Amino acid sequence: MEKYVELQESIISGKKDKVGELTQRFLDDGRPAKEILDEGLIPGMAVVGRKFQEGEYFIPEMLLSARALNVGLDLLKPLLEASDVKPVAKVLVGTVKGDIHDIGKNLVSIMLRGGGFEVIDAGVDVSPDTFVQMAKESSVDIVGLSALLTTTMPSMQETVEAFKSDGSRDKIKIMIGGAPVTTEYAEKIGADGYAQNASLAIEMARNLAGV
Amino acid sequence: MDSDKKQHQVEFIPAHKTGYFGEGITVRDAALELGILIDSDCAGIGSCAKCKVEIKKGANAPTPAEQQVLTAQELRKGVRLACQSTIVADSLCAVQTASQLGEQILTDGLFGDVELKPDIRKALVKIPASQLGEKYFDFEKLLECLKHQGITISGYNFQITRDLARVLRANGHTVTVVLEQQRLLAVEPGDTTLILYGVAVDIGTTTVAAKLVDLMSGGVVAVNSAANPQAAHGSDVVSRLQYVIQHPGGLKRFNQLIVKLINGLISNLSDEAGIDREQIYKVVLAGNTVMSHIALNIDPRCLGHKPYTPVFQGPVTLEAQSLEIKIHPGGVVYSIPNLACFVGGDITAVLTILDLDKQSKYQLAIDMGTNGEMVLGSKDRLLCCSSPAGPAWEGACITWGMRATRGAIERVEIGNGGLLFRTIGDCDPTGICGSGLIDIVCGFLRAGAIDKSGRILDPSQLPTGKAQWVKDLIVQKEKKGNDLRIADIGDNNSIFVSQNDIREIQLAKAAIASGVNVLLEEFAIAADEVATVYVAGAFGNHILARDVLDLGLIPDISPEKIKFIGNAALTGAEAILKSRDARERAEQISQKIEYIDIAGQPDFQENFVDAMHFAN
Ligand code: B12
Ligand code: FES
Repeated sequence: MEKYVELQESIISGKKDKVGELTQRFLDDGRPAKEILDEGLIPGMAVVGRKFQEGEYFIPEMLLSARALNVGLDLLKPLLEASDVKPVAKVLVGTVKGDIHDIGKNLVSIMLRGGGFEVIDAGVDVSPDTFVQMAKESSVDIVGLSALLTTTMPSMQETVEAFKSDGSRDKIKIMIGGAPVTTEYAEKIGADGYAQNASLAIEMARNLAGV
Repeated sequence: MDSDKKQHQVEFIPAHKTGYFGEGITVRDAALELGILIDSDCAGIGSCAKCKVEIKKGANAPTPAEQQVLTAQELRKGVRLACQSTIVADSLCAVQTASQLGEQILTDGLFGDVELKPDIRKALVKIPASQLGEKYFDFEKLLECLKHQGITISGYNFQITRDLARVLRANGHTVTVVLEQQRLLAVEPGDTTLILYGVAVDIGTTTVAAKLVDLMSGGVVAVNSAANPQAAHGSDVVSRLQYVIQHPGGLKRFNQLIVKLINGLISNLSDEAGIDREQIYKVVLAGNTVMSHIALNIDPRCLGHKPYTPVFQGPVTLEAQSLEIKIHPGGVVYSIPNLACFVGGDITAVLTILDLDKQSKYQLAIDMGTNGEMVLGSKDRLLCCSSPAGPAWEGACITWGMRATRGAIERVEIGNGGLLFRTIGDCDPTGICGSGLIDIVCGFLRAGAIDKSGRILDPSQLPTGKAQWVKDLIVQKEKKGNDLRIADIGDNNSIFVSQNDIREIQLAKAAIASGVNVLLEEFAIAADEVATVYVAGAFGNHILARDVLDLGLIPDISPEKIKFIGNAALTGAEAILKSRDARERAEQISQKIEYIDIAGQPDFQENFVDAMHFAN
């Protein structure tokens, strides 16, 4: 919608004060939180994702937009919850055991949030058992695993196995990513999907969530 | 060879080496068996495409990984990934020059001479002949005579005595002893006191370089280098560790590869200098922590996982024979002490020839390798850290990147109406090495074609006044980011730098810059309080001070303070070989220096992300 163009642009250029101001104004005008999210924040973030994938944006630009997005989301969140608006799906994201690289994982979380998913961040150096436990507690639909070291890739497999032995493997979908990870590796360890970058991660998550 | 499996004849060109291999072995493993090294950045998982070969006969169907990484045109031409493609029939494989690990480069460092006073020395001894009825034992007599000359021996290899009866008498009871500090290494017949050699070796993750030094004159007699053959199993130390962890016998294999290579270098050096390799008594090894563990055949597996624990710091002196290093059988190998988990003896060697630990003003030393290592400090305190820059500086992970070998574009000038470049060996370009990449990025930054965020602009976004030739070098791409055209190479192909390549360089430079920031913050000083910045690395050519600043590797500092010191680890190893003082300094520094884990810094991510933009 025409009137959300400025909000979208503020997300794209990462102006967090402007995003806060505009979001508040729309709320004051009585616009529904869901509409502001769907027409303003999400389309803005989609452009950011595209620019990132096409090489125009890099990590610093993306993080600026992320900060702006969070300002908007924080204002909308209580209202969305109150009006019982459901997220696209719930995703648990974390960096696997032994690995503390989290920039890639954070970008994936941001894009998922910006794509209307609810994201729970398990942090870094997360053990297989913690993944299983957190997935249960928050009853998530998808688990996203990140690894940047060749030596920590095996903990992805261990995490998949942990879900199997816990018996909750069928209830969730597992997607994996990180620079050394490949589609073949995902197949080999029995994960449900792999995405090369944060933009493709949303597509993958949508597929896995069946939306 | 596995006899149940069908054997196929595989020939490699242009090396013209042929062997028989069981069905299912990868092309890369077959090549390695025959001593043909194929490049690799991804430890053979099929994602880096650096191992391309052309299978001219006997290829099987491409794997999914190959279909993903190779273009349709390449597949049609028979180009395949050596790490994925397996042998299923008699085959003929062409290893393209770009992926054949080359001979190479950078062996010069910086600093002037250290005082020649090696730990290794010789002494002439005249021993009275034995008389009938005298209580006389050859070996004890020798020790007694040495004592008279003021030389006390505190250790020896008893093997020396095996041949002593002959050696003592071969030249009328005149012998030359070879000593390493207090240790007796060898006894030679006659007077050989004028002949004494040693070798300094820098074992890089990517390149191994060696110098033969005449320890009588202090002169460097010959220099040689070669690619580290372990590189076929991944370009960074973590991939190497992974190999050792996952393959039974992996350590032995890596150790053999490096020992064979060092022996090959020593043999080349001795041939070149026209000496006998048995006249070499000492080898000094500088290497990062992982490389030194492997060279000494020590299992480094705990360096592969948190909390990254090395087995030893050193210094370590071992008998060359026990390591199968082929010099004089009594010779020794000295491994320079490591500093911390990912900061190795190579940096200790660099510090030995600098004076960070002596000055009252602050100085900074940066080694821009795959694993960036840096040290900041003064005589009161020295602090080091490591930052994982990735192999971009050495040309890996870059579309047309290559190591600093023949054919690499090593220098690029942009300005005055166009782009000029020079290649190593002045031949046709086959790729771009580190110094060339840095020139390209900085040149296009100054020309305004790349903005501070690292984006290659569209020609239409350049100011109208901008020269047309700059715009012509930008190749616009649908939905992929633009390319910068560097050199045309016929067949409508050109060597280019992609948007993604620039991003890789940004990550690498941010890793270094954020490491430097962590050190500055720890000392609570501003960059301009640093008096000198030494930059070491194997980029191919010296990088310019101006480029260091435009890249934003170091925050504002005046360019005169930046000094490029080339392959300083090898120079440091040479100094340690030549001078006891230098060796003692290295050992003191290794005790004194402190280590900081940058990953543990609370605001590291912000620091790192902030460092991604260019300074220009
Ligand atoms: C920054 C960095 C660090 C920082 C990490 C800071 C942080 N908070 O993340 C610090 C300094 C702490 C660090 C430490 C180490 N690092 Co480091 N590091 C890097 C570096 C420079 C960049 C990584 C990065 O952030 N990339 C940018 C992000 C955006 O890309 P990305 O992570 O790939 O993510 C994208 C996709 O992969 C995908 N994705 C990522 N996760 C997921 C998850 C899902 C579910 C999906 C769908 C998609 C997805 O989407 C993302 C966005 O598009 C790389 C080198 C390089 N050039 O890549 C080395 C690198 C990864 N590190 C390396 C090493 C060796 C280390 C250390 C062991 C070295 C040391 N000196 O101590 C330690 C290990 C620490 C540990 N336990 O993990 C090596 C790994 C080599 C190997 N073969 O495994 C690399 C490759 C450098 C090298 N070649 O030597 N590192
Ligand atoms: S793709 Fe074969 S080694 Fe990387």
